[in-house]
Amino acid sequence: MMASKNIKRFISLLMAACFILLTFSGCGERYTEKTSFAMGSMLSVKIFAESEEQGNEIFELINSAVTQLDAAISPSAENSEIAVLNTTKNTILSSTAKDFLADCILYSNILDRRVNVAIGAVTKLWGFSTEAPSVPDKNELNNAVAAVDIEKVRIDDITGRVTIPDDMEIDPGAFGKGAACDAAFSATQYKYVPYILTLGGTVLACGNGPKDGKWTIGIRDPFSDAGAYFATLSLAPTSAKNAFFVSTSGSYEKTFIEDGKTYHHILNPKTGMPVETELVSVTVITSSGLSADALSTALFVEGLNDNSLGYIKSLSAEAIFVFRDKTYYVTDGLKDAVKITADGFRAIEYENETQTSQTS
Amino acid sequence: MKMKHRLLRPLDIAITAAVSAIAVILILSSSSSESISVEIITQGETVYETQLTKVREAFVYKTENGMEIEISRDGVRVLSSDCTGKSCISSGLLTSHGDCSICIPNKTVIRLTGSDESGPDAITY
Repeated sequence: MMASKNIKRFISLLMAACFILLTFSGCGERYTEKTSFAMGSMLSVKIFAESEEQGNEIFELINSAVTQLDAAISPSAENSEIAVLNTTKNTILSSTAKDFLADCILYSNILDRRVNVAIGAVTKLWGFSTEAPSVPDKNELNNAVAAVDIEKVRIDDITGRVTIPDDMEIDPGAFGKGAACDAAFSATQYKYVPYILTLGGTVLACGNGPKDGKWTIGIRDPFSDAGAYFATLSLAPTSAKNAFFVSTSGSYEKTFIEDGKTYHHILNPKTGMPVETELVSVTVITSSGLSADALSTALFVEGLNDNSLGYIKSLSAEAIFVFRDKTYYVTDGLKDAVKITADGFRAIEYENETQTSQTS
Repeated sequence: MKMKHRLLRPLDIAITAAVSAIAVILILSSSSSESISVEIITQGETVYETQLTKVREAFVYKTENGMEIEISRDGVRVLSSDCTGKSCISSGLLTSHGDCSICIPNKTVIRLTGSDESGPDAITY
């Protein structure tokens, strides 16, 4: 009698312990990780689905949305609608391509043309996307800069006909990956499956993340190898979309050396030259991919000042500016989310220009 | 005579301690960096995969598109590639879960995966 009671007690304890073991060992969430190439970049997605089949379905939706947008707007794809527009200067765009172009123009204007979708003639001369980028001839560059006149883009909302001047070319490079993230989000939002997507460095975090609902996003270390990060952001979506977008513009991407000088790919639309700045990268977090992409480029061009902080505020964004001397500035709404993981970085505060002029 | 009930007996405590210890060992071992694997993906297809602990001696894996990738217990690096930017080579030695090297012209991704979830979910660049 006593022995049987002991055995029962033993089995109960063993089962309880096994339950604890199984519960805790299952804490690491499983995800499906898939990659492909789109928009001249790697598309990588981690999907926290209930099954592999569901993960595959979400990836197919994402991949299809990104590929379709790429086919419509990529200027390097021979038959894309934007490529046709650049060649013919007058064409009818699909509603997808037309709305995309209209959004690019909208954000170019909101951001005082620090980023400009009509910059194609200038970027073509530099050839950053080609195998042999080079410094353009000064006269040619001046002519191309004169052609960057976004007001001359005509869009007929009803027919979809778009016309641009003969010397203008559209370059959606500063907007495309963000727009593709928006397209991926639209294609999957009603599936309610959490995932995190990276397309050429632009990130979409959709739904609640695996760590207390938060996603952890590394910010590339501008002073180290590609793939290394100097800080992490730990964020949960707070917008009505239940998603957020992260974009970084950095002078370490797409560079070349000519006559001993290094040239990077972020061009000032007003001069046609790579931006000369103490910044090495700007990271932006917003609730839309296209605005994140556009804003990170515009902030890199503008630098850290009252204007740029105004852009951040008007787009309800947050940002991190990183400078050559390894100092960094984080906007207030992000301070608790940022953790520095590399050595030598130092936070700075920003004193606005009004305060500066009053104290000097 | 009334029997005295005790909530836990020495044997109970011993069993609980033993199973808990096994649980801790299993959890820790499953999340250690030793379970890191390298995966080489070309055009969306995994062409090579192995656990780094299973690599006895460093060797060079050659992809069909001509990339040379050194794989050792310490990590993985791209030694040579015929692409123009060479950003895959500048990624350096990949050592931790989540580290990744991308060669866009060759449509190839080399990434380290595993159950070590200490790295970020994504990297913005």
